[in-house]
Parts: sequence; C-alpha cells; structure tokens
Amino acid sequence: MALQTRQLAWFHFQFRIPAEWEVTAYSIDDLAGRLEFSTRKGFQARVRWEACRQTPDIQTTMLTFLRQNMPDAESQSPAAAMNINTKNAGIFLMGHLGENAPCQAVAYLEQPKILLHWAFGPYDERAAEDVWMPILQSFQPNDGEIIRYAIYGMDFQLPNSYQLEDMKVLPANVMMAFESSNKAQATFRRWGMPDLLLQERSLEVFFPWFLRTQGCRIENVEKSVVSGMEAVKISYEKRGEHQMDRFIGRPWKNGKAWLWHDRDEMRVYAFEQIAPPKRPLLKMTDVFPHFRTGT
Amino acid sequence: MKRRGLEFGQQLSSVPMRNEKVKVCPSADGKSLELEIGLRHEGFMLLMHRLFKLRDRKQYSLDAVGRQVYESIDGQKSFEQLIDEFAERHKLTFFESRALLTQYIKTLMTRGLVVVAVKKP
Repeated sequence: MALQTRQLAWFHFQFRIPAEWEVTAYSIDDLAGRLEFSTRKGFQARVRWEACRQTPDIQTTMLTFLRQNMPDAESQSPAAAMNINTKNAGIFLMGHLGENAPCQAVAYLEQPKILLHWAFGPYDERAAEDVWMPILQSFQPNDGEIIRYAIYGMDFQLPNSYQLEDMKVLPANVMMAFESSNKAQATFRRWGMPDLLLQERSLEVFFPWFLRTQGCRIENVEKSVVSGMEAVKISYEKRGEHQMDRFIGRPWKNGKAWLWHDRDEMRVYAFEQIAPPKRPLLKMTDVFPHFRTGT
Repeated sequence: MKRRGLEFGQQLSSVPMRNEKVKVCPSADGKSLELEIGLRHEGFMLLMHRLFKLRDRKQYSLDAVGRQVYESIDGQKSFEQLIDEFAERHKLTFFESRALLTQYIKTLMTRGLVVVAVKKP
C-alpha cells in the first residue's frame, strides 16, 4: 500500500512527507535553520539548510555529521569518508555507514547557494526504500519569484519580497506574519477547536472582535464565501508601523482581512493584509491559487 | 537529587487517575464543572489553620475543555489513549492533542485533582 503523504514547503525546498510526520521544531531564518519531524514513535528525521558559498565536498560533509553525532566516528580519519555507502535519490546523495549509524542525505542547491542536509534514524533498508527515498525524490525547489509555504496545516504562496517576520506555533493555534520590502504586511492564522474559539459567536461577530484586539479599527464587515466555506471579509485600518506613520500615529487605511471556517477540517483560517498608503495589496487568488471567493 | 522528567514512551503509557476524594458538582450552566477538594495542612500551616480557623476545602471550576479532559480520565485509559480520543473529537494532530492534554493534566495534578500512575522502566 502506498504511503499517504502531504506537502511540505519551506525556505528553499518542497517535499512530500509521510502524512503522520509532524513538525516538532522549526527555524524561521532562511539562511540557516532546521525542521524536525516526529511521530508518536519518536524522532523521524531532521532537515537542515545553511548558506554555503561554494559547492561542498558531500562525503566530507557526511563524515563531519557522523563525527558530531556518533561517539565511534569522532576519531575517524578523512579517509573514512570513503567507507560511507552512498546512493542517489533525486538530487540528493544518501549515505550511511551501516545499520547502527544514522542515515543522511545531502544536496547542494546551486541557485540559492544552500546546502540541504537530511538526517534520518539508524539505517534500515526498508525505511530507506519505502519512506526516505520517496521524500528525497519528491524534492522541488522553492526559490523562485513566488515562494510556497506549506507547514502546520497552512498552505499559501507569497512573492519572494515577503519575508517571514514572526511565527507562533501553539496547539491548535498557528500564526505566521510576513512583511514585504515595501512594508506591506501579510498575516496568516489557523485555529483548531472552532466551537471553543467562536463560543457560539458568528464569524461576523468573532472576527471584528479579534481584529480589534490586534489594534485594528473596523471599517466594513461583509459576509462571504471562500471555496464553498462560510467566510467573512473585513476592511480595516491600523496605526502605521514604520517611520513617520508610527511617529505621528497616521493610520494605514487599506487593510483587508478574510476569515473562513472549514467545517470538514474543524479549523478556522484567517488572512490579513495591510500596507502603507498607495502600496498595492496581494490578491486573495494569488496567495491561495486554488481558492475561489464570492459573496 | 535532580528529578528526571518522564521519557516520551513512559509518558504515553502512564495512566492518569482522578483523586477519589474530590467532590464533583456540575455547574448551573451545564458546561463547566465545579470540583471541591479537602485541604491538608502540615507544620506551620496546621498551626495557622487551628489558630485562625482557615478553610479546609477548596473549590475549582473547570472550563469546557477542562471538563472534557477530567471526565475522560477513568483510571483505565493511558495517556496515549486519552490523546487519541481528544484528537479524534477535535480533529487535532497527535502532537497538538498531546500538548493540550499535557498542560491540562499538569494543572489538574498541581491542584491535587488528578494523579498519574507511571510504570517503572
């Protein structure tokens, strides 16, 4: 039976990972960081990325990792790198020293000059064939003009001028905030347990209340539909956050926010964006290409 | 000696149990739950209790989620089973459900409403 997978998209990469893997640690720096994956059985894998100006020697990179993670490998000479069993999986070179050593896979992305490094558990032929290789082979680059973010149940895309500024991951409550080079802000939220979140309030009551708690002034509330889901669309203004706008308290008046309730998934999603005067906002369909909106 | 936390597997196989001495009374709105527990004073506090007739019972009110968690604890189900049950009920992931339940059960333990039985490794 084929393994159920889901999309993962983060800085520089996109993979299909097993559906039961959950991200249990993350970094928000696009130059160096890691994501860790676990299931109820424990740690499954870690993918690490780091800026690297030149193409590194992959086998030396693998030996360095083994030296850092295995007491037995600490004293091994550079020649031991030749003992690492390797095979290709897509753009990755997968390598291991035997059944007691962790399996790893390394690839260098020429265009963003990023080294990607996967570390899995101890080498196991079956896990390698059924799980690890398909992950590595599913690699897609994520460094174009449009960057996709698919993590913690969220899935959207943004122009590469938007940088991740803040991220909070709590149980059933995820928030990611981006800011573009022209100071436009885009914030994404995903909540679970909608009954407890909404507490019998309609979306038209809950969302304006929530935005007010974020310092927004509500201009207009409109019932809407997002891909067949009950939704609400709000226009709002907020005190400017940069330079003179902040100093003199001039509001940015072009705020647009959407909130929709996915009843099948039992999740509530929100997308808010605002920009300094005369700066364009993103279109909903550019951020969520598969969504259809209407009233 | 420094107390070590539970390992992941040990935590999942542990069994939360209700304190049998807790008096349970549903609240008027039917959503939350009122719990009443006797206080045990020792040492200096026992003296203060006798001198000033301090209260000997304490009441706690659990919100809707706290009530669900408390009511699902039956002394039979392991922490892992409770996590799965809670995750299915609210369509949460395993780790979301685990994080929420851990927090709730920790609070219930601090209040003396629940104890957790852990198997020796």
